Amino acid sequence: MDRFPYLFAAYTVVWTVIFLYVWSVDRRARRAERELDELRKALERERR
Amino acid sequence: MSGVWQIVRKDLRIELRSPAGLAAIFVLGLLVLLIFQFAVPEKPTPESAAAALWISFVFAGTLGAQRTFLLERDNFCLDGLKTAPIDPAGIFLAKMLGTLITLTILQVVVVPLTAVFFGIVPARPLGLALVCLLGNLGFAALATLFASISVGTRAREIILPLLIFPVLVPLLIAAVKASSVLLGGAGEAGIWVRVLVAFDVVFTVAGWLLFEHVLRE
Amino acid sequence: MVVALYLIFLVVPTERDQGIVQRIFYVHVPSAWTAFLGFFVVCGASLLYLWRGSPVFDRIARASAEVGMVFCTLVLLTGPLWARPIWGAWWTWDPRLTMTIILWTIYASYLLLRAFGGGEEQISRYAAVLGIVGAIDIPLIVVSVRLWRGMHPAVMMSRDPQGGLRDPSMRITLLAAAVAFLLVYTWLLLVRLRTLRVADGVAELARERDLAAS
Repeated sequence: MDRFPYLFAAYTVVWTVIFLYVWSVDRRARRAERELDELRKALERERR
Repeated sequence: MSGVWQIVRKDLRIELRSPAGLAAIFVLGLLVLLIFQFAVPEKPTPESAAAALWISFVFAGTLGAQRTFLLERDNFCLDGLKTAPIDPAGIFLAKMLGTLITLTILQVVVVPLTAVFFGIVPARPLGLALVCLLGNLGFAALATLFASISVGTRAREIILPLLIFPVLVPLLIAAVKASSVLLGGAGEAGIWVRVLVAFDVVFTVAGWLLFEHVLRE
Repeated sequence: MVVALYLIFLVVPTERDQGIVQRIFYVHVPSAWTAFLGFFVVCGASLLYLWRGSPVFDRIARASAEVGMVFCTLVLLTGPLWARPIWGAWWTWDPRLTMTIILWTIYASYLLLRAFGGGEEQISRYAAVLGIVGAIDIPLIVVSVRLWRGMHPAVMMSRDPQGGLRDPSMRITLLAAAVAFLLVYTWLLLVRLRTLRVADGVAELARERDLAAS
């Protein structure tokens, strides 16, 4: 049981890394969505 | 085949016209050897000599390998090369040969220097020469392919080592191990030579096949 | 995906007498398998991309490189956390860890190449070449690293570094963990693919807009 900290750390690391990656993907997705909105607005402006 | 030779000759002529570039590479090789001496102040052994040799060669060689493509790109010759009536595989061969020649000359300089600095007389000089040539071949194949890629990106100088070094590891392990044996160390070189040959064949063929994708616009 | 993550918890009940830390094995090894699988996917997708030219394959290659890198990093982080309590050292140069760290550098060079280029087709092709070259290098790495460490390459399938006795329930758990990790990998891959598709669509629209404006 004295080695428990390592086990805990390992599993924490796994969850953290995966979570960080998902978060970074999500961030990029948001940026893409924002760009998409801007583009749509710009296109509409041009149509008028 | 003649097209290949023409490119090789052209590149050689360019090199000879401005020897400063080549000289810089040799001096770099020497410098790395020196730094190794100062940074690793232990009793000279065949193992450390082999290590110094190949580290120095890889560093100087990486810069040397870039030159052939840098010159083309900076002088806008790449398009001319692409439209020449030679298939891309031929261009790859030509560039690889050119790099091979440069690197061999580099080795001719660096290897004796290593022997001198480390005070080691190679136990089997012919074997050592063979190992150096084989290592050179694999390195040239890889370097030519990756140099042509790196020249097309934005951060050219730094990207080439980044691309080459990871993939180069097997060759490096084999070359250093074989060299240390041939410089007088313990062990067998035969198996490593086989690894080197495998590496050379695999990556020459790979470069040969893949180069057209790099050249395409 | 929630199912996959829950499967990992099923691993926990199966204990091992040699120390609770051994459980790390059940994330460490599947991560390694996934990391290597990820790169072979990169290679396959790269080959398909060069052969067929469809941007789908380029996106798959890129996504797999990212996700594979995640798992490769996990192997290298969980490895020392396992090694330290068991063997006393943070790092060992045993063949499998060495191979993994080399794979990590190959992943890194792939991702850096993509980072340094733009989104143009050229970079995709360069990356594809790198993906293929990296993958064909892997067998050579395996052979040379094993020779370096004095292990004859014929010893292909030796598993547990501790020479562990494996009772069947552990084998099942390992398999379950492997499946779980595979599912996580696939999930992450698909998620990333979706964002890449959107990003590509956005880039195209932007290009059209620029063209129209001029």
